[in-house]
Amino acid sequence: MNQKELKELIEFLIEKDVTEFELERGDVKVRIKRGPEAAAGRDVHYVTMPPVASPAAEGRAASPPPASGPTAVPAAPPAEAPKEEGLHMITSPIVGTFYEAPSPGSPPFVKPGDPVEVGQVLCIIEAMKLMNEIECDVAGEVVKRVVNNGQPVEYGQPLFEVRPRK
Amino acid sequence: MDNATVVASGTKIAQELGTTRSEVWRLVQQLRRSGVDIAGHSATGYRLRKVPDLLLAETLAPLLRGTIFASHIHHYFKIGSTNLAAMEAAAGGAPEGSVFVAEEQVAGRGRGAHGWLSARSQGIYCSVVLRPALSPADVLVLTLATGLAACAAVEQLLSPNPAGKKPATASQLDLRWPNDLLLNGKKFAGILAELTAEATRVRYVVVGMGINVNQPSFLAELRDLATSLRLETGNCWSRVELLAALLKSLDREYRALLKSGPGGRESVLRRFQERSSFAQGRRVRVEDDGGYEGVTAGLDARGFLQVETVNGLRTVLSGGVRGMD
Repeated sequence: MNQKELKELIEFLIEKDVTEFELERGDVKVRIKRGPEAAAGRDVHYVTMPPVASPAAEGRAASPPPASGPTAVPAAPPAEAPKEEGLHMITSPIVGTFYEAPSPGSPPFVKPGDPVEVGQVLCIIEAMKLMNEIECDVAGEVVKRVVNNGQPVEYGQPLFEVRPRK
Repeated sequence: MDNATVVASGTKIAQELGTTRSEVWRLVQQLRRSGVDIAGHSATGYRLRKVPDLLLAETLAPLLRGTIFASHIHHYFKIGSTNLAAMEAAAGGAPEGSVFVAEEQVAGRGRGAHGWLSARSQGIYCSVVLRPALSPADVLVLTLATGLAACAAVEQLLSPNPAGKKPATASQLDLRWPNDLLLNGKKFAGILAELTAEATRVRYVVVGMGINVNQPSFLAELRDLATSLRLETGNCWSRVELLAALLKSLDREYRALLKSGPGGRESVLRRFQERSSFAQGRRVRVEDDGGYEGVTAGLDARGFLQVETVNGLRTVLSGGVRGMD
C-alpha cells in the first residue's frame, strides 16, 4: 500500500463515516481510527502502524515498526493530528529513531497526563549514534505521544502534544 | 617527570616537599594504590619503575597546547561515566573544549542498553564538551568526523614514521559506520555522542570515546566481538600519547567542520567513504527499524548509510550495522 492508496482509503472512510478500520496484509498492518480520541472530535484521523513483537536483539530498546515490504508506508507521520485548541506540538529537530526511555527497559521519560516543565527531557532521537535529548519548550501537561518507540522520524515530525499551562 | 626513574631518598623528597619522611611514605602508598609503580621505601630511597601512563591533566595539557582541549581537563581515577559527568557539567555551563577523562568507569555507557567495560588504566575513557554554532541536523556529521579523528590517531600511534614500513596491523584498521573502530574485524573503540538542542540551535554536544588499549584479555562472551590494541599488536601502548593524538586530531576535524560549512561536511563524507570498508559493497545486517540485510551503497548527502536490500534502497538512521562476511 502506498501513500496515495492510504490517502484514498482514509478519504473513503471519512466519506462513509467509518470511525475505525483495521487491515492486515502480509506484514503490513494498518489501523485507522478517527473521531473519539480527539477531544474536539472534529474531522480527525490519524494512522498508526502498531509495532509487532520483535525478537529482542541484544535487549535493544525499540519495539520497531513491522519490517515492511517494498510498499511500506514509511510510518506515516500523523500529518493531521488531533487539534484541540491551543495544543502545543513538540517536533523532531533531526531525522532519526525515536526512543521514549533513556535505555531499553527503563520507564519512559514522560507519559500522557504527566506534568512537564520547560527544559524537561521528553524523549531521545538517535541518529548515527548521536543521542539527541528532546526537551520540552513549554510548561504544561503531556496529552499524547504521537510516535511509537523505535520508530524512524523525519525532520519536523510531531512527537508529542502538550497542553500548555495557563 | 624529568628525573622520573632516578632513586630519591625519602629524606630528600621530604625536604623538597617541606614535609616529613612518614608523610612521604603515606603519599607513596597512596600513589601505589592508584596504580603507580614505585619501588623501594623511605630508608633505601624511592624509584619509579616507569613513568606512569596516567591521563593526568598536568601530563596532557602541554601536549594539547593550541587546541581547544588544553585548558579544562578533568581527570578522575574512578567515575560512573565520563559522558554523564560531561553532560552534567555542560548543563552547568562548562566551556567548550572541557575534557573529562577517567582511569576507570564503573558505569561506562554504550548505545542502547550496552555498557562499555572500562577496566582501570587499560583503556581510554574520555568525553569532551563542544558547543558548535550549528543546527542539530548539521551536527550529525561530527560523529563521523570523530570516527575519522580516532582512526587517524591510532594510525599515527601504530606507524609513527610515515617513511617506515607500516606494521601489518595498521592496514587491518577499519572504520564501521557510523564510528566504530575495528582491528581485524573486531571492535576496539567506540564513540557515543549526546546532544542537547533547541529546534534550530545546538546547546552542547558531548562526544564520548572509549578505546581498548592495553587490555590483556576479554570475557569469553566478548572475545569474538571485542579486542584491544595490545591483543592485536602484541604490544602495550602509551595511553597518554594516544589520547593526545586523538584530541589533536579531533580539534582539527572540528575546526575544519565549523569553518568550511558544507564543504567541510563533504570532505568528511568523502574521507569516510575512502577509509571505511563498510561504506560500499559490504554485506551487512542492520538492527535499525526491525532488522534487515543488504549490501552497503555509500553515504547519502547527510551522512546516513545506504543499504541496497531486496526491497530497494534503505537508509540506516541509527547504529547497529554488522558485517556478514
